[in-house]
Amino acid sequence: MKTSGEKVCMITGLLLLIAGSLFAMLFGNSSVGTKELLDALMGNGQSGSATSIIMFDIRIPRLLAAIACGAALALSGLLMQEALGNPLASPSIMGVNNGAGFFVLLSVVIFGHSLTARTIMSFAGAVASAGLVFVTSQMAGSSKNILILSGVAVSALMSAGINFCITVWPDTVYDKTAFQIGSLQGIQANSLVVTIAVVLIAAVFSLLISSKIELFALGDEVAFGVGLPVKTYRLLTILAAVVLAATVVSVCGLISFVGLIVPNAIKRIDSSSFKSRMLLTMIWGSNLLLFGDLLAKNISYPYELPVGMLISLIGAPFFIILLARRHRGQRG
Amino acid sequence: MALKLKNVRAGYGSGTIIDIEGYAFEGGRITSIIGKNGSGKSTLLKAIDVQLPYAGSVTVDGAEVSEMPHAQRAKMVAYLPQQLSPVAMSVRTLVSHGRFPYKSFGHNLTREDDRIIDEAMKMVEVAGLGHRQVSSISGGEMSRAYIAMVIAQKSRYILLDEPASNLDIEHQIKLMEILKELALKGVGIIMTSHDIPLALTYSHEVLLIGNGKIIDSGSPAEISERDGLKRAVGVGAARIKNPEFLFDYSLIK
Repeated sequence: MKTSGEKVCMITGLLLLIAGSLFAMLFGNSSVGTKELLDALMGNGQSGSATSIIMFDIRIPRLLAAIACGAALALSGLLMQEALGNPLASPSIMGVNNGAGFFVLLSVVIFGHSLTARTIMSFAGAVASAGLVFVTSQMAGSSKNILILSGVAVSALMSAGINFCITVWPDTVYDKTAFQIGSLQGIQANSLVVTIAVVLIAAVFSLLISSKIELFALGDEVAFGVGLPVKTYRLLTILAAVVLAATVVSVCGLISFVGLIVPNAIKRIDSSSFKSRMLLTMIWGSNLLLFGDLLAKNISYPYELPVGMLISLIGAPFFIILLARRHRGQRG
Repeated sequence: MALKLKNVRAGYGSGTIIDIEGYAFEGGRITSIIGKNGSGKSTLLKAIDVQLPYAGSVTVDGAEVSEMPHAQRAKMVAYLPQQLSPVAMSVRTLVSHGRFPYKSFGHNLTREDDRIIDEAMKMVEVAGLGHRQVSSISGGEMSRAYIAMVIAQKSRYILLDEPASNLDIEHQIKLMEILKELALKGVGIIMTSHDIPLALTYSHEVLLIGNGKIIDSGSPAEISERDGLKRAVGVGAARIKNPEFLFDYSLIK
């Protein structure tokens, strides 16, 4: 049975998502009227017309990207935090985003702008970074803090790789800033099919093993004691988190902090099960990126800001508050 | 029906903490493992539950515990460490995790699971806390909630690492009465304890450990008569029984 907090959060989140989606589809920086766009959405417009292009080639892909990538990043953060027993873990802090980003640029250098190569290399980079973080932290003592510090070090290394690629091969990215801080601008419908499919598969897989992931919170010994193969499921959970983060990086660059802010905020609501916490995390992750993107598009009209910049503006203070609370908790 | 140890050696890294030639824990009995800090009590429990790699053999009814599938192992042996996490989940959800080994992939709890969970929560008096978050209850209530979880696990043997250490005296005694009740139903209870009067009062069997080896074993009466206790913990039974020195639970029974 869901708690009252969960119900309120679920209903509010879904309503906001619907409202935000309608807003994103019907309002924007074009001179085409809302009525024509509504007609196009209902299938009454002419195919190939400007209105139809705006709706189906620009706004809907961007909306779907915001929903899918927001949910993926938030879920990725939650999975990492649970698997590692650390609320500070997230794809950006653990170096996974930068690893995927570095390999995406390498893919462009080696294979050109091939979507398949980008996606595969993004996974490879994310897995390589996560692997490097684990090896480093194992060598240094594998405590929770060491893991985060290893993540910071690997992240810095991969970031150096990104800067190297951009400096030596400036043509690897169309917009250097947008890639480095993440943007939904220029998302193409054809690149979204793979993204949405991968996000859906990883999310469904995570939901299927949610009863196992929930046991990590009990601590390794208790979880093992009730019969969980802890190492196997930790690996699977981290793999799902890495796949989700890598998919996002391959389409919209390095959006930070969604995986940190959303799961930690949702954690404050009493939840009846981990599965419902996962669903709430995905809904609110989508909301954060969708509304962040709407704001980014309109805040300094006619110029558009990369959504990653706005998210970082919210995320960085949130991270500091989280660190301070954690420190207070440890002292108390 | 017994949980048998044969030439069990276990430790952390390359060091050996315990070295047990042989011992059999009988079902339906409470066995207390007593020894100083660092004597290997917790390590022994971890080795039995395959939490640590070990050399030698740990069997239940002849079947090697380390070779059992995870769910099968959990049905045979339940384990509760001393350090417990104040998790962000409801008390009932925590207790329901005791039914994990019985859940098939993708299936929810059955009515029978619910009944077992309710019964376990009632036994340790946490039924009224079902909807409270574990992170919001007291340390003693949290210990009882975790104990309810291992009771709901319905394993043949329950391993408890100092289960009474966070409980007030009333709940310590209640816990031991519950463990006695479980033992009467055939469950083997293996617990470590620093509370010697409590252990001697409620245990059927006492296992004294020192430097990872068995110093002595026997009934509480036998142990009280011999000098093993003094070698294991540095204090003899005569002093422990003296109420001016330490609390004697038999006085309030």
